Amino acid sequence: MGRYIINRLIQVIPVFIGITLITFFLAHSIPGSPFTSDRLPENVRKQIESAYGLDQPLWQQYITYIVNFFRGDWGPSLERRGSQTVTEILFGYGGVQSGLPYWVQLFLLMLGTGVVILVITWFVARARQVDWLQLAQRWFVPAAIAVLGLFVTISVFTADTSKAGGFVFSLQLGIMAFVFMMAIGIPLGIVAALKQNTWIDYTVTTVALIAFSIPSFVLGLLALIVIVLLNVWFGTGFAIAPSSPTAIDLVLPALILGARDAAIIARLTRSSMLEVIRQDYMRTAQAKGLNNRSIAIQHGLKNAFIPILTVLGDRLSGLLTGSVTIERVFNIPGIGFYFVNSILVLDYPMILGTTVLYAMLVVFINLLTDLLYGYFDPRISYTEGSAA
Amino acid sequence: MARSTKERAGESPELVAQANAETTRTLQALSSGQTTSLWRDAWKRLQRNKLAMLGLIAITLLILVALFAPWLARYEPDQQFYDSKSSVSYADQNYQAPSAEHWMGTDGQNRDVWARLVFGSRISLSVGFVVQLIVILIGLPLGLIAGYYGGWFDTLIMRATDIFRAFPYLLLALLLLSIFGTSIIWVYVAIAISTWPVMTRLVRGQILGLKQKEFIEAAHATGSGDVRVIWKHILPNILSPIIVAVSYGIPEAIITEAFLGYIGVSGDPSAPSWGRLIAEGRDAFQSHPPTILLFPCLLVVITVMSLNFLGDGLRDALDPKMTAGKK
Repeated sequence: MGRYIINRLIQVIPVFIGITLITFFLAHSIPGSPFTSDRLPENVRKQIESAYGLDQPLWQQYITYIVNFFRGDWGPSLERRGSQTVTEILFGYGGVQSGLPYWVQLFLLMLGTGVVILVITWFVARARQVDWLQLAQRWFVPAAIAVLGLFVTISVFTADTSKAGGFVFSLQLGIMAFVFMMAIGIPLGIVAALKQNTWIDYTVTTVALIAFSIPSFVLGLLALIVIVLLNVWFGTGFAIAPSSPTAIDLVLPALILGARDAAIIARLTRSSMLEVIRQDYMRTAQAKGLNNRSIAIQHGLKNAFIPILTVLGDRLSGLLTGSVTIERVFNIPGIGFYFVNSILVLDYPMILGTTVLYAMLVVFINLLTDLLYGYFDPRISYTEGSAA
Repeated sequence: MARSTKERAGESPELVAQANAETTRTLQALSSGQTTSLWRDAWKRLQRNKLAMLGLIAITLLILVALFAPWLARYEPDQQFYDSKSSVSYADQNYQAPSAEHWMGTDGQNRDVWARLVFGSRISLSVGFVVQLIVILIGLPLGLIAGYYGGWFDTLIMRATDIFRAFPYLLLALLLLSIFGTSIIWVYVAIAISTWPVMTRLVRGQILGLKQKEFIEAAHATGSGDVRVIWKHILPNILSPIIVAVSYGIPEAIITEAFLGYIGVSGDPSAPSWGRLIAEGRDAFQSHPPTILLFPCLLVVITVMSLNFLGDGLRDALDPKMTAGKK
């Protein structure tokens, strides 16, 4: 499995190069200059551009960018005229100020989590006198992912929002939407499957189909209409777009962001459970005299979860990236907001920074999802050739 | 089977004739109409699905509206309704509430919202269909070749789709539109380029599964060439999942176009794209009749919903396994 992870990490390299190359050259082919809005004389503008190295050949700028990127320097924000760096805007000023680049901090954090869990597994294996490696393979990945998720969640929601960067807002929004999606989607899907062809099933499937059909930014705008009408008719004072949102302000946007995905998950859980319920082992479990609920949860859900897992990973990265639309509607200063903005004002380092951050998140989440398959389906092995 | 019916019916010549006629009919149906009856079955299943038929009717109506927009709109989409004789200033004449004259009110430049929405349906619907057409034109051949022949081409295509998978597709579309300008042709292309890998991966996956099947092996053994195998045996078998993917892809493309219009990069600025109408409504709905935002939003929802109803129906109709439990 270690070999599998290393292989997958190696595959990240072409993806990284491809994405940075495409983004870099596409961004630089957008006509115009980031400084046209200043209405400067031609020669002054040229001077400013050369100060940022924009007069050098493109390939040289690209190499410089990549080298600096790995040093943790993602470049100055051209829109802020260099008064803030991209990392400051995206990650904020808070957090661990050890002087190490952010990706090194993140890497050390993950490594540390992994070591701690491995040690715990080793002690458990000794106490129970079972094979350590087997136990580690079976429990290491889900435990590590759970701890990592918990850690990220805690650090994101305890962050000082006045100093926080855009990434914190996006993560808060994405995590809340994800939790909402799971908490609503999976139970409703299970209930609909178990009560197939009753009014409960029809209600759930119809509501899910309707929710699935409303784009999240349209749902957000419809919610804004309701808020404004409430304010006008009942004199309530709900703010439409708070300038520096707290976690509470993000609850409504998160619910709206998660609604469509909750519908997707509910539909998928239902069809997946229906498929599983008809399997022979379910009948065996019934014949053994187990009660229906424990069959549904223990035997059904765990097997039904495999196709759900595929979509969950997609949805998680979709929620962290799909917040582009919701951040735009509710004016939340998250990374999606900065991305759209950076393209409109030609802030090259910001375009690259946000795209790379998004892409790496997606790649990382995909890796975690693929590793989790092994927990839900022990038949999957991560040895050469079988799971690639 | 024919022999057993003859034996059973041996006593009465009428029964023999009847049985023979039945057998002939079955044989005729088997030899001539087998491929069409598969689709006819699907169509029958689709007709039984009330939501899907509702969606189909709504979509047909929307397409008719788009086709006959000049006759239904009542006004030109960019016609302004300022009354120079009125004592009300021009600025205050904007944003009229819905009335008999202007069914959905007027916008910030006093243009008829109904007329703009009706003409906007041409943009939204064409985006949905044209984008999926381009996606098929790019995604299907690439997926076919990658899945069928494998080798270095497969590796190349898969690495490319890896990159596109990690690339936030909305942002890629945005980048392309910033470079090439926001004319509607580039909107089609940008959305299609950002979404083709989904189709490629689907086609490739289906073919990898099919290649192992005995009937493909049999086709090869009887001397069929690659083109014949692909055309006669593989394509018909992957048609259902492709139709389902396209029917879900159309509303997705419409949503994407609406959002691109919302941030102002779809079509030229005066074009009545639904997304642009939503954005204009967003700027105005707090101090003016909120219908200016409500109507375009509802129209997007209704369109996407009807397409999804139809998509769900198609999925159930084309894949009877999914509905086997429904009784």
